[in-house]
Amino acid sequence: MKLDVKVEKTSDCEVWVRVKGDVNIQSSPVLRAKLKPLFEQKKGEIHIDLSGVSFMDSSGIATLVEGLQWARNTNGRFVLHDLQETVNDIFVLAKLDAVFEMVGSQA
Amino acid sequence: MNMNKLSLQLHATCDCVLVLRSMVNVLCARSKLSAIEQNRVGLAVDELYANIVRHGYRGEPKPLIFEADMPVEADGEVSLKFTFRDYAPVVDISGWDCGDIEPCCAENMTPGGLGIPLIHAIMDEVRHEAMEDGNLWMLLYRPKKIREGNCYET
Repeated sequence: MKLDVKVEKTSDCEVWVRVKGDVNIQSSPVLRAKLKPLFEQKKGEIHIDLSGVSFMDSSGIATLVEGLQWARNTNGRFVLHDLQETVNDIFVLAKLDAVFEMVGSQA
Repeated sequence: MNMNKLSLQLHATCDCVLVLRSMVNVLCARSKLSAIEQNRVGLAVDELYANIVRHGYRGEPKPLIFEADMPVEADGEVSLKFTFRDYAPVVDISGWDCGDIEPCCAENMTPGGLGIPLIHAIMDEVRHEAMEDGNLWMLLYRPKKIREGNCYET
């Protein structure tokens, strides 16, 4: 399944990234390429809408961890929204569910 | 003839991950695994394949044999067994992190390195055999009957 990533700047300091498709070894570079420029921001909030993602492997998680580091380094916010149960399950397995700020996951 | 055994020979590239996923899904459906278990098994297979493509073959499309099977265990239960035969340099797995995934905090998080621990967290057996000209990998999964809404069992 092709990965579709849309970046929407909703205010000066807030960006929404809407992701649709499977995030795997083939598609994760697409996600990373879209997120990487956002990590150049000096501050603000990045919201990732994952409601359209039913599969994510460790390469996708690694990209999101970069977002977490960005938030830590800039005192910003990096928020994951609406994880499907299958993706949330992997975050729980990886013991990352308490590390990320998550909103509205289907757990 | 074992009707549940699926075999594939390919030149390992990133886009072939979808072919492997299809084979995994066929066996998961035959085993009547829930979406949660199917996702976990698919993830473990994806992770090992990605590891071979990235680290074993360093992105070069080289030959790989993948087999998926549903052997009946001694207790009569059906398992899911996946084998990978690659022709990459022999891997030394002695330094691999095969223990439980430890809870992490945001301060210590680093991108990457989760693939192997996830494989071990999901699969019941992970075996590696060094061959003269490559590696033989085996993943075994015993269905756990994990259903949706109850996904925190490992």
